[in-house]
Amino acid sequence: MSHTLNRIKLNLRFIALLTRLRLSHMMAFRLGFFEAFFADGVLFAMQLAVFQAIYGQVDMIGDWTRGRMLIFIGTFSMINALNMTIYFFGVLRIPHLIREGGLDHYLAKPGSALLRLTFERVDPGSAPLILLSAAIVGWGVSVDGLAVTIPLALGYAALTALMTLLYYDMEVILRTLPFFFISTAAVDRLEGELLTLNFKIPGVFYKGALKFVFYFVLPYGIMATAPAQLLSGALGGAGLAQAVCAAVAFTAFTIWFWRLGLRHYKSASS
Amino acid sequence: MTEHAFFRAAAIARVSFKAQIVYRFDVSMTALATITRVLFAWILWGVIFSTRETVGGFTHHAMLSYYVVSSFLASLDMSKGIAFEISDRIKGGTFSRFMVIPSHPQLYFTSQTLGAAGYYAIFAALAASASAAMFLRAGLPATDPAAVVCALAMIAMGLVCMCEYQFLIGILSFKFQDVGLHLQGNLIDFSTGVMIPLSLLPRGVQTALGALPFPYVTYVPAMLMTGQSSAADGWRGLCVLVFWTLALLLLGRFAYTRLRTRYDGVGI
Repeated sequence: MSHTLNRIKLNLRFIALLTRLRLSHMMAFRLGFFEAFFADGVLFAMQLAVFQAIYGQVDMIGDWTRGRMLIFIGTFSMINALNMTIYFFGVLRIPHLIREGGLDHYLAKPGSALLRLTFERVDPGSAPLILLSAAIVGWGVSVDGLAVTIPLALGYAALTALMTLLYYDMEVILRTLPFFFISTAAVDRLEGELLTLNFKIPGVFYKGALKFVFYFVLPYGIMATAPAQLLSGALGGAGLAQAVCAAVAFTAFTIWFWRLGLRHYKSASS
Repeated sequence: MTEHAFFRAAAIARVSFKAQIVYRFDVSMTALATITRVLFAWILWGVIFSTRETVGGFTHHAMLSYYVVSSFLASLDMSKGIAFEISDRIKGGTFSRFMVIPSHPQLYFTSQTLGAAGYYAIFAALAASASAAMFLRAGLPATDPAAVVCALAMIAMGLVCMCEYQFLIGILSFKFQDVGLHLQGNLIDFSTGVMIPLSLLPRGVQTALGALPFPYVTYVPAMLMTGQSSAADGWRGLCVLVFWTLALLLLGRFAYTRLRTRYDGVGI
């Protein structure tokens, strides 16, 4: 038990150190500090504009009110903002490092290579998007007149954090594939297309095979849908259990798959 | 354009068309994006139309028809790459090659992009046909031949207009380090009507967008092709588009002539 606690403490200190290093690096290259924030901010602003236009014509989309849709968009924006702020730019480099043999530098150092890759490129320039996303969620709550208690807000925050972990899992799984294949550009583009689709459509709208794919194989359909449903009181026990199980199962798979990938790594020095 | 310039442009477009054969994956992903956009519309609007017959003047079939055509048109516009390439090359100091080739860079980038668009059009048409077969069993609505002629003229002019716009944005990199290239992709998708038919937006927003060239690149041609706008509206739109194309062409040429002296790159 004390060994585990020491390990967690050591990893947290390591993450703090990586964050400090990254910040000092970013201060040297200030240009484009907020680029990711503006680019993603515009993306979600357009998304809001599209749904505002649709709700200008109809009261409900299925059983989704304007407020619940705003919560959905705000939640996806929040997950994306946490992704961009914390790990996106680090995880993004994995295929390049595998192909070029640069992963050697990570494997030769003490500590987990994946932990280092995940946290070495935090991007505080994307952090304002977290506040903006929270404001969109708050807007949705006020539009629907929802009564949000502290336990509900905490539950929503916990589930959103869990879904951010699920998003991370998917990113790592897809970027672990270059251990096995030379070119995975197809996977990157496919991920982009699927994300674009799922940014716009709550998972509950899928039927049949699409529902199976986006709930169990590539669980993008759950990520923002489950927290949005939880906050608006539409998530049952089964839906909550499904979301939690998906996050746990995909995290376990990610760890196993990363280790399997490392065993197939043909390093630059081998 | 002189006769020589025309032949040069045709030669550049021909080479660019052939060069796309190498980028089979990009082509297939662009085709997939066409289908994904229609899939999005099929799911979302399917839910909306399950409880009503019309939304903003569109029936379910008209809405899906609009998305099939607008997705096809969006796949033809390859101009986004122009601004990125010019900006990267200016920042990286490798823009010099475009200053010494026997063609004006504006003509070069426009011809190159139109050549690529010609190749992509084949596969975008296949993807749009597949989308129509999957999601639009009744086929595209019948429309007035004059509207179709007008739409085709607008599509061609729109592709040129977007090339000139992106060239101008790219050339601004001579003066500004960061011209916000990542910002404009979604803004353009929205204002061209790729995300949603612009007639669903508030009247004030429609009026403001109507003064810009973007709605006439995708939205108006798609409305004309699906029989939801008249040829008279189309001809008016074509006039606006021609005005913007000429204005952007002249602005781009002026900006290049003025700003190229700031360039400090390889071989200069």
